[in-house]
Amino acid sequence: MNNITFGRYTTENTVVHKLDPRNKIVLMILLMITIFLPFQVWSTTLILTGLVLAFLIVVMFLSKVNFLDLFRSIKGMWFLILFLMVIYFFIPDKSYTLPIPGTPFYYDAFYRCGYIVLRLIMLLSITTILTTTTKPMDLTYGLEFYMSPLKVIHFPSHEIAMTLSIALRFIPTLLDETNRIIKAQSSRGVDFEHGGIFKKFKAIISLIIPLFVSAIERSEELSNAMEVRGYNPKSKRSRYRMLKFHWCDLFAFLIVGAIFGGILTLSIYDQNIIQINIIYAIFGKMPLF
Amino acid sequence: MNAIEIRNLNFSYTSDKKILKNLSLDIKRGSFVSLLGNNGSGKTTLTKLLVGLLSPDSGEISVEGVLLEKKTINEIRKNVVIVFQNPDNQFIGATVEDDIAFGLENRQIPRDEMLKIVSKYASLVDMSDFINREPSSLSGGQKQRVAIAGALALSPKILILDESTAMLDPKGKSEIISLIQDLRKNMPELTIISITHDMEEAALSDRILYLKNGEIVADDSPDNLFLNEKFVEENHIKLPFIYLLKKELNKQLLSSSGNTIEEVIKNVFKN
Repeated sequence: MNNITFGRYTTENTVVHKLDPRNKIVLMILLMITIFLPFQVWSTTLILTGLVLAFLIVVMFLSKVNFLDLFRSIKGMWFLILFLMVIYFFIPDKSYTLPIPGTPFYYDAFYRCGYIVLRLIMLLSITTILTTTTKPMDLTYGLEFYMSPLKVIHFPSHEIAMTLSIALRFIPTLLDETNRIIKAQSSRGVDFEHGGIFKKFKAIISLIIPLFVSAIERSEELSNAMEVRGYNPKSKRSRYRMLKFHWCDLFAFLIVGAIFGGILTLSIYDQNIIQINIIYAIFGKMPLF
Repeated sequence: MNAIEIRNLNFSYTSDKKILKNLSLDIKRGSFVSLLGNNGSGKTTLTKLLVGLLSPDSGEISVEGVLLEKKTINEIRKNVVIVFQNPDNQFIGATVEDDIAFGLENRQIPRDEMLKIVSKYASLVDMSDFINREPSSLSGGQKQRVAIAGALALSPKILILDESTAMLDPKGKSEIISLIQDLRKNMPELTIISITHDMEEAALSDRILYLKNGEIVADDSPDNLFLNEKFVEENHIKLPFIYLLKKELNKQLLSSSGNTIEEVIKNVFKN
């Protein structure tokens, strides 16, 4: 249970760590959109996505993301890759790739499958960058900022942010508790590791019920502690944490904005006016397939 | 002037068992009172009644001259803070400074002032070096010190410690006890009510209240209470070391006044 380190905040002092969380949320969304912009020619898509990937790798180096952890989580996607491969092999898009000689299959399967996996890896990298460089609490402050206009329609944005931040605060506490209960139940003879699904499910019940009971007791005590210190969700509060927009935020925004804007323009151009083929433009001839 | 006045207080969770029976009590401002009693004797219930987390069946409570009613709950909570037993379940903020600031945010104190108050109380409980730390990287004693800082930052008149040392290791416990002693020196106006099972801790207070089945069965100074052999035996109290010493000295007909071991020894040698 203790090896859930992937994507956890790291206490480093890099440029990416210093960015305003509100800015990072927007940049993340922009990059995610960029990844999914469509192009007619597949080689163009691959080259432009590759560019974004290169940018992401640079950012990951800058923010000291643990690549080993990232690879480990990618390894977990093998089933998805296999699944996609099978589907694409049997339902190929015959319009733009050649068949593999001697088989009824098309090269298209490799391309489409590879492209989807690449996109997923990039999505994973983007969220990893966000979560390893931003404190969970700052993230909730950022979210609260974007939700605050909804207060007009009585949307409880502050309450949601407070609930989220408390939930985040209690994750390590409850993980400790889980480990303790696992040990306690194991010592009473519950086997969490062996046996079939039904047996495991039964074992898990002996973990979940005490965990829930203790979580509810905790919440009761927590709400008492909050009330005694004068918390009232309906009344106004002042803020201890201030989010500040630095010059490096502007810089980051410009870079990501340029990537997003550039690729978006190309994509619109490609879809509406003339299809862009970068390899053709560079080498002056059509690619092999 | 009394910090707390309780008159004929009755309380029960269910109709068949009374938790507090016709309890009346005055607590002087600036005193350090220990509340002793077995589990289920109503100690925690009493503190919850004091801040309006529970409402009494009958009886009156006034805190700093204000009668506890629905309307006055917020006013009373400005004067009374509680530090609870489990350090994990009262750590609200993501980091030490956020947690100390939590109550201040609720009072809408401007940010500039908050920064000053947070650093002041963090250094008071000796946690200045840990201000950015998250609760999972702190020891129980440290978390409890943060909880005390968060409580004191609200500049209360009454501080209630509800078994605040019960879940701590000996080191954490002695840290909290020495912190309480510092508070007594530096904030003479602060009334401290400590619920405890720890007799060493109770021995340091001005006055001990012993609660049994919802009634106060003893209300006296530690000296009178711990040297009352009948009472000690009846309630299975494990005497703190200093009172074991005093008892032996008294048997040898030696004077044994003083609150610390040094004082007692000095007085013995004086004679």
